[in-house]
Amino acid sequence: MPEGLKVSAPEGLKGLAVWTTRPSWLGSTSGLVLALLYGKLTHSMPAGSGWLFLGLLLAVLVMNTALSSAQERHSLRVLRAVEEGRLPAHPDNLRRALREVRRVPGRCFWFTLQGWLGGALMLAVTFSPLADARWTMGVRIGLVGLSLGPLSAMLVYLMVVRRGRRAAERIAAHGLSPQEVIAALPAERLRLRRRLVMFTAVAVLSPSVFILDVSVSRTLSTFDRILETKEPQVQREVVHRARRATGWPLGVLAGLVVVLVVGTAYVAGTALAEPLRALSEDATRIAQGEVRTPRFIPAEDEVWAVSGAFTRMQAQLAQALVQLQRAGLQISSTTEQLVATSADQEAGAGEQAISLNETRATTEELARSAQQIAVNAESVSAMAETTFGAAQSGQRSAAAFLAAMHRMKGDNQAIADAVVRLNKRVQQIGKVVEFINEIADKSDLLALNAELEGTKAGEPGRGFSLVAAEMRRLAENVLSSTLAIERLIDEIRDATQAAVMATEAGLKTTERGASLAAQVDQSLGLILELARQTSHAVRSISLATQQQQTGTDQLAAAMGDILRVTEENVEATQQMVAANTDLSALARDLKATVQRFRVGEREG
Amino acid sequence: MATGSRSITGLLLCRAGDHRVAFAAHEVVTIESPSTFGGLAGSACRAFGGAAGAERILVAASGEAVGVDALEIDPEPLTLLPAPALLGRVAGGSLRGFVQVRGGLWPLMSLVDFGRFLAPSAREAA
Repeated sequence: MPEGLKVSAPEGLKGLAVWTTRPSWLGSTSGLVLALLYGKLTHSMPAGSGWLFLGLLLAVLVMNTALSSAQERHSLRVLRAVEEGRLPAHPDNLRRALREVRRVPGRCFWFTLQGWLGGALMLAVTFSPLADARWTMGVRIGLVGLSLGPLSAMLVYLMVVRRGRRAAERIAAHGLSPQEVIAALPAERLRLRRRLVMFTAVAVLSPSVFILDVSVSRTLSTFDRILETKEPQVQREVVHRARRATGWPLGVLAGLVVVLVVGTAYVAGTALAEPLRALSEDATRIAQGEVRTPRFIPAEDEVWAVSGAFTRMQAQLAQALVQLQRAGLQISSTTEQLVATSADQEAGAGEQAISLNETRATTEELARSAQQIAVNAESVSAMAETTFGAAQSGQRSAAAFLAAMHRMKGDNQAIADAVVRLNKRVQQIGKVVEFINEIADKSDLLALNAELEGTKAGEPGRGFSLVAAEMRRLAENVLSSTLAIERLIDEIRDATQAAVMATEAGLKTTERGASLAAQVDQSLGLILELARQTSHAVRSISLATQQQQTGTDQLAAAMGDILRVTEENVEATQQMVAANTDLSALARDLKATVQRFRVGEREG
Repeated sequence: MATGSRSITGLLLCRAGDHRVAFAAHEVVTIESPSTFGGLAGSACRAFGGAAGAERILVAASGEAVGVDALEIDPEPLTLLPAPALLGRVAGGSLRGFVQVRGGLWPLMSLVDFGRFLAPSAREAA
């Protein structure tokens, strides 16, 4: 932070440094009043030196005031800078201010003590020469300072301690957690015993020295006055006045000292009891099951160590309880789920056992089926072998049929050629018959003309006509025969034509048959190949079926083992359900136990 | 038997399709076959409205010829029945009469006249 650049001072910290060290004035003033009262009541001042003493006392007070103020400001310089806005109230500055506040009671103690001792020494050294008093006056002034100074310093210390605690709480309220405060203020050397010893010593020695001074000074004064006169009556009078003079004034003075000591003891007890009471309250609250966010309990020495440990313990306990509650809830929920899951698992295991029983039965049935399949596969393999042999025989028959068809084709061709030759011969016969027919026709014509001539010749030609008629009949018979032959030839020609056509058709049919036979042969070859492959495949299937049968038998045995394991699993699941039920009950107990602790934010 | 009938010997009983016709043998010089007959011969079938064609050609001495499908020679004397004059004129004068032979009545034609009668049709057919 650059010099001169101010930020707004945080609320609650304004005037905190002055408020913290203000009891030092009260304590010093109380001791000073007591000292002045002592001087007044004991008539210790020489006559006419009162104003001198007051003047010297005022000078010493001014000097001590200036010095103490400067020292206190220096001791709380960071807190002053924060409360005046010269430093921001971030955690580092707050921690430094905390450390200052923590150290300021002890410093105030020493500042007060040094003021008392230094002031008394200065007064003792300067007053006796200036007032022409005896040197014992300086010693008495020193003894008064020595007796009241520690007591005043102790009172200042105790009051500043209490205010320092409040100041530390107010500083911590501006952004420091209890853990950060504890980390920022580590436990120093444990000095409670030394402080108690010192307090006891001061509480005992200061009044003793004070009373010793009063007694010695009064005794010496009385003895001096007794020695100044030789008359017993005067001496008795001196003793009588001394007794009256040391009556109630010294009693009042002693009472004031006792009040101061008792008040200091009260403040000391209060300062010691406050953190213990707070710790007791928190411990009682925790014992009642109410765990709040840990708070910062300011204290000193061993009590501060206890407070820090208690705060850390409380934080750890709160965190552990939160985690324990969460874990308890989770354990309870998980165990309930576990119980439900175990129940489901138990039911599932039962169903699984039933299913495995069915599966085992199915597997055994499958094994029997596999055995039957193996037997059938053997049969099919034999049938495939038979089919293969039949296909081979069929192919051979088809080849023979094809050869026969080829031979039939040749025979048909020969028949066709023969029929053609026969047709040619028949045509030749027809020509011969036609020639005969022509001859017969000419013979018939000649016989007819002869018969005509015989008829025209009359009776002489009758014989000739008869012969001619007979010849004509012969010729007509020849003609009718040739005509019958021609018809036969025509029929033969038609028959040969039909035979030729039939032979050609047969030849074509034979060719188609040969083609079909070739196709059949090819198809049978393919069938033979397929039958061979089928036979091979069936053999493979048979082998695979045998292996399948073996595997199925092994599967049936494995299913039996699985069934036994599943039954054991069912029993284990039932045991697990029982264990989970017990665990769930334990989780509910744990949840109830943890829920007795209430973890919440601290009120206020 | 009608008055005026006379006997005739030697007849050629011919068939022209389903019809009958007879010629006197002495008018026929020769009988030829259509393949060997070189001249024109009218078919007797035309006289009956039939198709032309003949198996035998009867050739007269004057050269006229008539084609018939079949013929037989009957050398026995037969009675010639005269034909009515109207039929003779309708037939171009070639009908000589009728003969009763073989259970049927045969018209006897003059070969020369019948050949002449058929000649124009034979020339037209040629």
